[in-house]
Amino acid sequence: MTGSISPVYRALKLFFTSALVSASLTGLPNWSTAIAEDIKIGVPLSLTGPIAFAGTKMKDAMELAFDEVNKSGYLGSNKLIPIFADDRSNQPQGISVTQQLILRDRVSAIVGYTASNICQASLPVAQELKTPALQADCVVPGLNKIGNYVYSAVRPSDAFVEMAIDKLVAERKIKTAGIIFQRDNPVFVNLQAVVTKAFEKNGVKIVASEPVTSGGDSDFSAQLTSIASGKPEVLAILLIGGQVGPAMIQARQTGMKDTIFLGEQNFDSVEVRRVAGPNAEGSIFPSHWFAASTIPGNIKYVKEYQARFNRDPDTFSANGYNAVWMMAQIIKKAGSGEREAIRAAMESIGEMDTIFGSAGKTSFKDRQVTLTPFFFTVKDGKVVSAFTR
Amino acid sequence: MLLQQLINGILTGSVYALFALGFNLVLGALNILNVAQGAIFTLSAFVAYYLISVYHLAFPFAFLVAVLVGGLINVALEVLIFRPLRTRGGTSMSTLVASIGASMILISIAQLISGAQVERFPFGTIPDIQWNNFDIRISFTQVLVLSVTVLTMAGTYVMLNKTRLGKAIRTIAFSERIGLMLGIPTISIARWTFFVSGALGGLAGVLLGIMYNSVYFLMGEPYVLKGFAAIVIGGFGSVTGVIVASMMIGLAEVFSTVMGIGKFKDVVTFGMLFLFLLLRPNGLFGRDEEVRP
Repeated sequence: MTGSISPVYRALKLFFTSALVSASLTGLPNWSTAIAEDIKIGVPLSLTGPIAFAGTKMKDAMELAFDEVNKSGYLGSNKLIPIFADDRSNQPQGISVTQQLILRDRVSAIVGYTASNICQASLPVAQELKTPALQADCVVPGLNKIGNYVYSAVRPSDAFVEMAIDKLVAERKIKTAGIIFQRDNPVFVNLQAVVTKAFEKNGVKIVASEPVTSGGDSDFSAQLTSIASGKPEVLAILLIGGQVGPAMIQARQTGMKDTIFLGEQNFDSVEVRRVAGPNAEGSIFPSHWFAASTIPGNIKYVKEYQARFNRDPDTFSANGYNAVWMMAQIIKKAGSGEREAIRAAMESIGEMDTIFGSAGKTSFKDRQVTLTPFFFTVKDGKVVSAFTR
Repeated sequence: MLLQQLINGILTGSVYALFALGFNLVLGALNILNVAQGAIFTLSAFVAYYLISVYHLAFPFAFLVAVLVGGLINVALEVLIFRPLRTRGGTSMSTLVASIGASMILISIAQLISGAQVERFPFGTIPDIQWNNFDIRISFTQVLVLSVTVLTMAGTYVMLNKTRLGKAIRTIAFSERIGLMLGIPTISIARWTFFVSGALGGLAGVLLGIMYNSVYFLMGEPYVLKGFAAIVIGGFGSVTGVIVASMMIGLAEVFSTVMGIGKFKDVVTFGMLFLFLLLRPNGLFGRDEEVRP
C-alpha cells in the first residue's frame, strides 16, 4: 500500500497527542513538571567606583538571599541564578550592563541597582526591552512612573525627610538651619529642594546652603566654614554615605559643636557611625528598616548576615536582601520564569512579606512599596527612637 | 570668616602643592606624565591607616613608612613599566597610557583591601587641640600639615638646587644624552626621581587623610587633574611655579564658595588653566625653550 495513511491511525495519533497536551496543561498549577527551571536574574550593582561602598554590601546580602531562596526550596525545584554585573557607579555603564543582561544573558528579570542616577538612566532601558525590573536601593522620586515593567522595593526618601523635619521643628523649636548637599547626584539635588521647602514651611531660616561638587570630594572645610558662620541649630547633610562621616567630623571642627545633623537613610549605616565616632551623637535620620526590628524575617536575616560576614548589616544590605526575597515571592506568584508572567505577577501580587517596617508586610501601590518610616537618633553611640511623638 | 577661609585655602593649596611637586618632578625630569601618582597617594594613606589602626604604630613611624612605601611603589613602576617602555622607544603617549593602566591596577588593589569602605585614622592619632582666637579656628593637625608642607617644599627646593642628586636630576631633565656623556648614571637617577616623586605623593596622601578624616580608595582621583592644572599654571619643571599655582588653585576654590559660586569651583580651576594655556602657555615660572634649526 502506498500514499495514504490509515484514517484509524490518524485518529489515534490525534487522540494521543491531544491527551498529552491536555495532561501537561492541566498538570501542576504553577510549574511544568517536565524540567526544573533555572531562572536567570540580572543583578546590576555599583561594585566599583564611588558608590561601591554601598554596592558591595548589597551584593553580599543578595548572595545570601539567593542562597536562602534556593536552599529552602521556596520555588520548588526551580533555582534563581543571579548574574551580577558592575555598573562602575556611572550611568553609561549602567545602561550598558542592563542591555547586556537582557539581550545577551537573557535574564527573566532584573533586581538591583545601587545609585539613583543610574536607576534613572537604566530602568527606562528595562522598560523599553520589556523586562521586569525591581529596583532595590534608589530613592529618587519618579522611578515608579517609568512604566509597567519597573517597580521599586524602596520608597523615595523625600517624604521621610520632610516628616523628620516637621517632627524635629515641632519638638525642638528649631529656628535656623544649614544645608550641605552633593550637587551631582539627583537624590541630593532633589532633597536639597525638599529640605529647603520643609524648613521654610516650618518658619526655619536657612543660614546657608552649600554644594559639594562631587562624590569624590573629602574637603568640606570651605562649605562648612561658610555654614558655621550662620550658627545653625540643624545641619542637613545630604551627601553620599562615604562622605557623611568626614563631613560630621569637619562640621564639629568648624565650631558646630551642638548643631543637630539631619540626614536621610544613608545615615543608618554602621560605617557612617564608625567613621564619625562621637561626632554623630544626636544626629537624626529616617529609615524604613532597623537591625533590632523584631519581625521574624529580620531577626533571621540579621543572624544569618552576622554569621556569614562577621559584621552587622546596614540599610544597603537590607535593601538588597529584601529585594531578592520580594522578587522570589513575585516569581512564585508568576509560576514561571517568563518575563511577561513576572510582570503580570508584579501587578497583581498583593501583600508580600518584607523585613522593612513594623508589620513585616508590604504591597505595591503606584509600583512602589508602601512603607512607614522610623525616625532614629544616635544617643551614647546607639541608635534609638528620635521623637517622643 | 574671611580669615578662616584664607587659612582653609592655604591648607587646601598646600596639599595640592605636595601632590603636584611629585607629579612635576617626573614630568619635568623624564617627560613622563605619571597618572598613577593619584593611586600612590591613596595607597600610602592606606598604609599609614593600617599601620596605625591595626598594628598600633605611632603616627611618626607610620608616616615615615607610608612615605617610603609611596617611593618604592613608584620605583617599582619605573622598573617594571616605564624603563622597559622607554628602552623600546616608547613615546610620551605610551607612557601616559601605561600609567593610566598602572593607576587602575593600584586603585583596584586599594579597593580590594579596603572593601570600598571609607576609613579614617583613629581618633587621637594626632592630639585634638584647637586654638580659637579672633574668630579663627586652627587645629594642631592643620598646623602640622602646614609645617610639614613648608619643610617639604623647602627640602625639595634645596635637594634640586644644592645637592649632587638635584643637579643630576636637572641635567637629565635638560638632556638625558648629555647626562650620559657627563657620566651621570641616568638609570639610577631616574629611579631616584621616581622615588622622591612617589614619596612626595605618599606624604600628601597621608596628610590629606589625617586632615580630612577620610581614607578612601578613590581619594587620589580629584588630585591628578588639579595637580596637572598646577603644573600647567605654574610652569613645567618649576618648583616655585607649582607651589604658587597650587596655592592659587586652593584659594580660588575656597573663595568661590565664599562668593556663592561654590558649585562652579571646578569651572574656576580649569578656567584658570585654559586662560594660562591661551595667554601664557609656559605658565607663571616656565621658561621659553630655544629650538635650534
